[in-house]
Amino acid sequence: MASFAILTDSTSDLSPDLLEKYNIDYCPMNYTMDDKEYPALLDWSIHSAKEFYDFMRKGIIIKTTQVPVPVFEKKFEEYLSQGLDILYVACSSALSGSYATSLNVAKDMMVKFPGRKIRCVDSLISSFGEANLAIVAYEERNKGKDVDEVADYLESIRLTRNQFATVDDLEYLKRCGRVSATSAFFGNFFGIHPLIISDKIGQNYAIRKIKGAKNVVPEMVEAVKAAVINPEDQTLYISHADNAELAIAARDAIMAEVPFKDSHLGIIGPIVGASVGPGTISIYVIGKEVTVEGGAS
Amino acid sequence: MDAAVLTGEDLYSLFTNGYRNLKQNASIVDALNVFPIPDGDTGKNMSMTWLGGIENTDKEEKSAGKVAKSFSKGTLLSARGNSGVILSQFVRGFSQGIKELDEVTPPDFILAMENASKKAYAAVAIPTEGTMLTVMRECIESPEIQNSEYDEFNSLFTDIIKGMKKSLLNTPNLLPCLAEAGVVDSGGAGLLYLFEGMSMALQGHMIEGDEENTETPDEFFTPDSKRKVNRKKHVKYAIVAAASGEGMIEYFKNEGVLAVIDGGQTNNPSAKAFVDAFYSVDADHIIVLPNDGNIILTAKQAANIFDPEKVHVIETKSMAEGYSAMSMVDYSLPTVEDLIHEMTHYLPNVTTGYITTATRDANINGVDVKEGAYVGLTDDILSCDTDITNATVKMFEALPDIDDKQVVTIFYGKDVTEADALALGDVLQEKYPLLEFGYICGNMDVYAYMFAIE
Repeated sequence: MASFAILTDSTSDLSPDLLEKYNIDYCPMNYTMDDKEYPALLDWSIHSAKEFYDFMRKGIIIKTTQVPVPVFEKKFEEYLSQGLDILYVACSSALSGSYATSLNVAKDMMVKFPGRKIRCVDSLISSFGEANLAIVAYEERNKGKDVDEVADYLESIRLTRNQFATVDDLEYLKRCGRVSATSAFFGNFFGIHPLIISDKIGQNYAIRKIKGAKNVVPEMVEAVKAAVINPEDQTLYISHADNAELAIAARDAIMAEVPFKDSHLGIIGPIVGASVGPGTISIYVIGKEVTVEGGAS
Repeated sequence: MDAAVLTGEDLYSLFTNGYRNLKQNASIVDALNVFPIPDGDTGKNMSMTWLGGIENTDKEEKSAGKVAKSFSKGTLLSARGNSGVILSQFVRGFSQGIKELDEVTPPDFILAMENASKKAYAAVAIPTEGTMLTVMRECIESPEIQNSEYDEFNSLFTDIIKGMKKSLLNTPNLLPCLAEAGVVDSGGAGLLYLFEGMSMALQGHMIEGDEENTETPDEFFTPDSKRKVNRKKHVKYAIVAAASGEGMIEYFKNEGVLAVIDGGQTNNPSAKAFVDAFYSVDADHIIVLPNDGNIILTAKQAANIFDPEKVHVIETKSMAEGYSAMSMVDYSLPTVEDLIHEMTHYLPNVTTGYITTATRDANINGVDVKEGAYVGLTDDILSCDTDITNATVKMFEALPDIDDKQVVTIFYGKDVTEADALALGDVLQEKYPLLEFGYICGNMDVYAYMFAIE
């Protein structure tokens, strides 16, 4: 029997089959649309992904909230009461307050469950970067490591998860302030596609501009080539916000030039999706440690 | 209420009035929100969190301890956003400080406030000074409060609010992003509104109605931000550009060009105009966009006069090229060479097209030009038609490398409406489905349209 449960949250973008395959549970955040609040479920059982992104295309503003305290309490209790410790792989603390909240809830839980352990790990990334750390936790747990060993390990490797994303419309990221770049970066210009990384403190940082849609995929291939280490041992992860066409084009171009073991394509979930907007694609590879830190957002 | 002690019912009405005051000013608090993420919902989040506390509290309850406890539970459950979570932990600390007391005296209240601020600090992984945390702590830490013996609440609240204001107004000095935005911290302002509402309740003034205030008080802006003092700020990179026409001058200014040289009607500025512009900025490096083939030499001469090491001329031959260079600007690049590389990288690919009116009959470049008709030109005249859309489409058809282009930005002139420009763009989009179109009001005099075709 597993010695500890692995939890993540809605920004991991893990599909139900991956959650099941790797025995991972998650704490949903919420999103608000037209003043109604919904849990951000990764099976898209409330709004389908297509519906969700079409709402955004129509201009409906979707706000998001961190994992609520009662959700953490319920999930943590569920596993602690089974005698399990907990490893929570959290969305980057630069993007969500969930990590900070989880630490407090975890502390409170220890009163009721003395001797048990909850380790919360700030993934410093989101989407498949965060998901990948949760999957690594599963693999490390299978090797017989305990919750502390696995949590320490994740903290030691998290910055080797590289993100390369591009968005269709910068307005979404600007609106929720979830990207770091000077205001001049986002002037009134057309045909500019930002290349967005997750920097060393886990914030989205527009590291460079790509002009023209046709140049996006070639530039992403170059970025992956420059960052990746041992591609033959890893899966290339690409997530997209209802833009399978571009995601597939990027996957095919990268797979043609970089010898990844295999690739996985998935949908960006509602929380990340609400802040990046429809059309976004995001690539995750394991490689050089991220050392860049963007300016204040 | 000349209160020497607060009962449960007193606390309830204080909390309620705090909520009402915050709610009325929530959009002011929203507008101040720049940290940690400027999503403009601090006021809403704080008031929703606080309301959850009130809704969970029995207004008839006599015991202050019990009111504080149920209020705290309510705020914890309804906490939303970073500010809401911090506020709910503050309330939790306050409630723990009140313990089981049925009546609260001013010294009890001060102790509870101290515990509240401690809990709030513990709520975040890395507490940041210059936020509501600082205001929570400093409002009760002031020597005035620590050295006084209060026997009633009115004067205590007066002093707490005084301390809060002082602390709030100091937040831009502690947190650079506030100073940059020229505002005080939003969460701290929300807290002040809560306590002001509570203080009003003590004085017997319960807020009614739900009118909203939207005008931010002057004191919530830093002096620079409000008055926009025209101080020269030292920057690493300054961009200086020449432009003609009010609309384009305005456009370049809005996009961060620090000094725009007005080329005037003939678009023929002097070297002195450039040198004056260089003096008007304080920068390590000055990048110049002449934006006209005939001005490049003047700009270079001015650079030599001023400081050839410091001034770098990018040879933009049109305002469309200047636009293209500006679109690639990234001030975070480490060296001026990097920045120039980015700005010039796509320049060879830019074609500038114009639509204007012919002033006389002629046959140029094989195009039969009729006076008064629309002419489409790049470096050469490419099309002429009495219909502006036809003249434009023919010009695009005559571009040899149109299939390699990706982005077309349409600058529309003074005599063209936005609707005209959009309609023209629709025609072009249909013909060239892979091109991406953008629209900018350029208010040009001479040209009906200018196109940056990249």
